[in-house]
Amino acid sequence: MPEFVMPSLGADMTAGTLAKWRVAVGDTVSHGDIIAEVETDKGIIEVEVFESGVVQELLVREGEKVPVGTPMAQIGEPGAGAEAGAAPVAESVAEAGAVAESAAEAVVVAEARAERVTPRRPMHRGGLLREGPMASPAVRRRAHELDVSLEGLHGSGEHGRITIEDVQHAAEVGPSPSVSRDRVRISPYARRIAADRGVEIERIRGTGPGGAIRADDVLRAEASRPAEPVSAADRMQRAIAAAMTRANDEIPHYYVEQTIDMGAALAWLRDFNASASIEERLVSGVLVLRAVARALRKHRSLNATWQGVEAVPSKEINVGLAVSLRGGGLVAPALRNTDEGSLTELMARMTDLVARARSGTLRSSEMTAATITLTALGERGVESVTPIIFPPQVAIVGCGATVERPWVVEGRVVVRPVMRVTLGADHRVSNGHQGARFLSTLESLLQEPDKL
Amino acid sequence: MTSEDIRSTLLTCLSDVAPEVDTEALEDDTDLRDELDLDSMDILRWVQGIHKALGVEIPEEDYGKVVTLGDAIDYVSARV
Repeated sequence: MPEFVMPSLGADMTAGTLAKWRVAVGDTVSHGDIIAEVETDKGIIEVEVFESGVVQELLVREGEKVPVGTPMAQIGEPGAGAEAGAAPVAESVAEAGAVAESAAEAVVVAEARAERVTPRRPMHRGGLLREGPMASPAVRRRAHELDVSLEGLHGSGEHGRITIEDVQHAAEVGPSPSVSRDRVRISPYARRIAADRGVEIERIRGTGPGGAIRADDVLRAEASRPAEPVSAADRMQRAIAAAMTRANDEIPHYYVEQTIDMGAALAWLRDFNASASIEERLVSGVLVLRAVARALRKHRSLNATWQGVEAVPSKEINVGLAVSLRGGGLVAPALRNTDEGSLTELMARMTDLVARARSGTLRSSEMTAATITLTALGERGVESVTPIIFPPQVAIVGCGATVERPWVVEGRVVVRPVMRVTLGADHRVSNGHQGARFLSTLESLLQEPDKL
Repeated sequence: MTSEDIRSTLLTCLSDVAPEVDTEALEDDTDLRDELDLDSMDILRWVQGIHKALGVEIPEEDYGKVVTLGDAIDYVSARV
């Protein structure tokens, strides 16, 4: 049966948190439907499903963070019906029984699987809590392996969920002295320090006589306490840092740059916008976007992704647009088939994409489909940008501001609006000569804007 | 339509484009591009929103006349 797995929504993503299911068991889904919302370092992404069929089982609960590739849902053949949802659990139980080393373990695994049957109930409401503390099946399994009781364990995850790290920590420090504060042996001085520093006494292992907690134990527990949760903006910056560091480490970049006369393009745009309705107006960025996509038709080596040992050319030309988020952060979602359709249509798609990037409602395919990136930093006046490739892509185009400069046309110096365009590309895949030819094509295309 | 009504409508349109902007804290001399970090696409969407709400069309060549919030209020007030 096809499985829907936690997708990789970018080279830098290792895990994602299921924020919300958009389907229920029994729902029919088709290729491309949005099935879930996943929280990543890049914000909330609407994730599409690539199978068609009936949702038979949801394996991950809302709020749960799982690694990329983790099965999240079972999608059955169309018409299989929701009642079939019970079957996979039974299979899982049998399967778990087969691999478990002891009957007791099999029961624990089976219980863990059985819990997944009612995944749509929010984690932190009464229903699921009756059986004990909040912990995912994987955490329960690990707790069982390490012989750690989840009862009384402090959860450091969202809404007090117990995480694998909490279980590991509990296994390392030994059984908690007591669930009840009154029965913990602790010196008055240590208790005061713990209160001052917000360290929970229940989590401290005492090294004094009879396991009594001393001041040193409190300080040690404070030092080993998990870091405070970081903000979404900080997490995004970390993800960008990881991707850019990797790009700088792994990709031998080369750069070529050309100054392009934008006079014809801007004159055409002015005329177009003067006669177009206000809803159909274009911005110059859309002309550049289209021209980059059309130029790539002739220079396919720049429109590719690096797959471990070689570059694989992409059939589609999907330009990723670097969008700065005003609260800080950067995303570069893709505009599929950027070389096709009318300019008006491309403008509408670009406007929609930028708005959704900023409101945090991008789709999974938009996060992964880009075959090259365009970054335009001219709005604030910088004249050129030397961009870093976003892996696994093999090229990036950076545009500076369009500025008026003295320019020689047919032997005479005239004032023209010009823009500096920089191509950064992966030298494992293409070379400067090819890059220069790409820029030359781009320049030619921008001289005939009516053909874009 | 009073100047306050126009101001309020312009700010609503601005919120649609840039929800993160604290519109209540905006002064009339705030430069929309520089201080609010709006780009040409944001300005276009704002101008489109104003057109939809008030029927006032701001042509491209007049973008220079609506650099600040106060400019935009004056511009729209004269044409609404």
